[in-house]
Amino acid sequence: MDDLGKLSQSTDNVADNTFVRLRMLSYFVFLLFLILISRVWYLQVIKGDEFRDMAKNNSIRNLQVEAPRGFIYDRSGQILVKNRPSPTATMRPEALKDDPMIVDKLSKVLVMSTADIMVRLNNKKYDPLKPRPIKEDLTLSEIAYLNEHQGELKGVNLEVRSVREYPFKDMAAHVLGYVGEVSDSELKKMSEESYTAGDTIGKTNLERSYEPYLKGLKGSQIVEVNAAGKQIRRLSRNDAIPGNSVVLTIDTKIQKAAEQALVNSIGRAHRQKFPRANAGAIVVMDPNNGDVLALASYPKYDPSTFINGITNDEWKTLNSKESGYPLIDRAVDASYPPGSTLKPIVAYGALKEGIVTATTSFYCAGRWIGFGKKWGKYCWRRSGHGATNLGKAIAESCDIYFYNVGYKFQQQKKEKLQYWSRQFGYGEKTGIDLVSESRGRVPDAAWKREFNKKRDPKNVSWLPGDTVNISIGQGDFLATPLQIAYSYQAFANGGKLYEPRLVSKILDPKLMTMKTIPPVVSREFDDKSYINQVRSGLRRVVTEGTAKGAFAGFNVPVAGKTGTAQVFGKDDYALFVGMAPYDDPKYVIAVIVEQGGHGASVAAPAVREILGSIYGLKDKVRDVSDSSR
Amino acid sequence: MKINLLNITKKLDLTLVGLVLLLVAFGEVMIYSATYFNAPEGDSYYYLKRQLLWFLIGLPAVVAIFFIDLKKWTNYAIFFYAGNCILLVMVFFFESTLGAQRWIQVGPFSIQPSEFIKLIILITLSSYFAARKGEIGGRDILVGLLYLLIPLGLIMLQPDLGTSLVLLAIFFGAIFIGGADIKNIAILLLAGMVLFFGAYEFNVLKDYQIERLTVFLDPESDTRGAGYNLIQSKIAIGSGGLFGKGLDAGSQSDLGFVPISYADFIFAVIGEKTGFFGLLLLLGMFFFLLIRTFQISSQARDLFGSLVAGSIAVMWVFQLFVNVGMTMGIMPITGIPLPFISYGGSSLLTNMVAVGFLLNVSADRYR
Repeated sequence: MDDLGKLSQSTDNVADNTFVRLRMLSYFVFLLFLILISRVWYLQVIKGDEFRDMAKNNSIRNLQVEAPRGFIYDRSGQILVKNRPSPTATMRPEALKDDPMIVDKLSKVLVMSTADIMVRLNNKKYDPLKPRPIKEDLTLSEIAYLNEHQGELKGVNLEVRSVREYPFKDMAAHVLGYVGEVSDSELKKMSEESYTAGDTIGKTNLERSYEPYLKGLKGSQIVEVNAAGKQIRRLSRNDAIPGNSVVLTIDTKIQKAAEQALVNSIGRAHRQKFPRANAGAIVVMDPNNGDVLALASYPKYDPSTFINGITNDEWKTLNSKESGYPLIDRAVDASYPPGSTLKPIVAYGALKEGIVTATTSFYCAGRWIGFGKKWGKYCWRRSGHGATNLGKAIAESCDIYFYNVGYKFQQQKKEKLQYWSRQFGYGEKTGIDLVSESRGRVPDAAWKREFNKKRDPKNVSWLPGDTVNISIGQGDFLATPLQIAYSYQAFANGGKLYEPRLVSKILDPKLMTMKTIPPVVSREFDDKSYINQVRSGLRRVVTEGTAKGAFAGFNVPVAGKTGTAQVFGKDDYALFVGMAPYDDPKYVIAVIVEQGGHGASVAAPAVREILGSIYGLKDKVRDVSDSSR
Repeated sequence: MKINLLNITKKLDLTLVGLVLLLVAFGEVMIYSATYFNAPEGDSYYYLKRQLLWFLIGLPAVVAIFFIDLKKWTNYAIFFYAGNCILLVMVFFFESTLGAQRWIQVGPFSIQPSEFIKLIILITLSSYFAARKGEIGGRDILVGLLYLLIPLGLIMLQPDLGTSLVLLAIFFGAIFIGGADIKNIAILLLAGMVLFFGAYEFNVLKDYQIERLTVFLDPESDTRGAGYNLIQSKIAIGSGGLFGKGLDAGSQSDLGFVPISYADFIFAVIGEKTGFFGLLLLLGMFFFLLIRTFQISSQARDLFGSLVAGSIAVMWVFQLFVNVGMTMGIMPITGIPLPFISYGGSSLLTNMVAVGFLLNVSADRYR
């Protein structure tokens, strides 16, 4: 140690011993410095890269930027669903470890119980690294408080989230559907798509079926944060691409009218001593292109309930018998016996199969004994219709005529009744853009064998009575209101079935059309004369038949068919399918009121109301008491 | 005393003065660099200005001590000792900061009496042991210990384990240099360890103290508490690499990951911002300061001067090693500041007074 060289020139006053000890001390100090410098070398040079990465991970965060979801417009460009900003308080779960009192502080600020905060904080669905939303739609004073007290509330952040807004409240909720947080099972299913826990996803109906268009593309930004997790600066940014918008064929005016008419029909049913009427559906279609102009289902729900996450209680209520299961879209997802509304289809099939001609006549004495006197079946009009041909049978909805037709179909043993029903779209999905569409049911021998194998093993073989029952739209035959409207397009436009079209256009984020969805003809019936024979029968329903009373004094020429379907253990279901104007129908309207009683007196007036509203008529719908089917 | 300018320049140890000025300047720059990003009241020079003020307050003290005969100090040492013990009692009447009562609030400044007691004890012990003329027996050691006990006890009560350990280091340094038997020193060290583990066993130490003392052995065991500070400090130093990130950069320091970045953990800030070469420069300056101090000690005119200078060297090297070792995870976490560098007025003032003592001892041999 040269620096200590002078120690050797020790002065007389320092004892030799002291000198030696100082020298020992200085060697010891040298050793300590060696230790420190080797440690510095180890940390900075040997482990330097490792620590540099750790420093980066500490302060550099890659944040997702949510893409604004696309809007949904009606056919005239009115906004049905848009987004609005929702100021949200979020909290990083680790913040609790740094400050155990933070939840108490938050509970005072946000006026929430600590238990509620803990529930949201411990929500396992979330990415553990992501801040969890604690309270949405903060008030201005809550925002101000959080901003001022950031220092005391480390780990709590203010985020502006984009949430759905419904300018027309619950209107068309069943068409639009709702959005919510992506669930575990959805995450598993869509692993290849870029969803992470906490993301928003369309849950039902259009929001679901157009999810790939509506959701857009998430962006990201790389930010630097401080030790408290607060963002200091943005290092790079990759903008989110907003979702595409969807233009519907729905006409808001008609949709509103249909929803109102449905409510009115239920009231009408109650006045006609059918107090159990509590649900129903209406479908309005344009038979010239398949556009769905309105889809109403009752009872309704408010999709905004789902915006900030639905509570368990709310969810239970929406799925309870008491509330009438409002989440079900009865126009599309629910199947009903079509009752007499199936008769025009049966009639067309009978004409095609040569079972009847327009002039073939059966005598209706109110009772049919094709299976022997013991097995007599009755017409809804016990006094009978007398000699009845096809036109009259449709107009008067004569059951005896159709029992005869059904019996003849049965004798053919070719299941042609089922065949023609399927030709009109029954028993299969129409292909509307709604994921939970029901296919209804066209029963046949194969179905019955399979269906009853376990439930009713003694009753697996198809009986002639089964075919006869189907011929009046009963038995095990089921159809959705949409299927019924869909099938009547053929009678309205002279033989074509258009696929129900709910979305006409998709717009990019700049609102330029990126995709047009043209009308699609799914089936065409070439026997115009048969179609027209049935069609004129449908006109007679309104002019002289079962719906004469319902449309008395109405200025628009309407054609249609009443239906009163029997459901075991329940009051009759009221149905009506109408089309107008008769000469060149622009609208096909199917109405069903569960346990509403008679089609003519409960369902038909709904069609009159909707048409009155479409044509701007000052029409007053009076209650008629018509017990025809 | 006549003031002869020529005489003064001849007597003044310019090497020591130069090294100290370099260290203080280095410290000021690093305090600025550690605080500019998160300075209070939006004043990025807030801490720098206050530290400079303390330096200016310290200058006349250094000058005064340089001219006063150190031995005469020893006559008044008992008054300083008593006065300082009273200050150490007074801290208990002030608000506790971070779980400890160490400060006396005087206007805008906080004074830490436990800093000053270090030098008072150092001077008194040096004087007492110098009088033994290199023959320090067991009885002398016990007398010295008794003298140490009152302030030591008061400081342990604050609690301030770090300063208590510095006092013990000074004591051991003084008896070692003063010529005590190595055997006696070994026995005393052993007794100290037994006492310490006894304190540990009978829960005299607070839980957090034990945790802080042991967490450096396994910082991953507590990544949110005491271990967190240590991990962040090591990341800061390690990520500095060879050349550092620059005085105006360094996410660990500037974004609050390094705890108390301008005081106890300033070594981590220096490591991140100036890298291996910056730390080498700093440690080099310290090394030469200590060598110079040992030289002054060995060249002192008498045993008293040797003891004063040698004990100061021991005090500094202990603080340096414990503080720097702490930031790098090889020593326990104790609140010991890095001399001349860490922000803190009392600490800087104490160290400047120590420099005054050294200059005095150094000049004394020309008398």
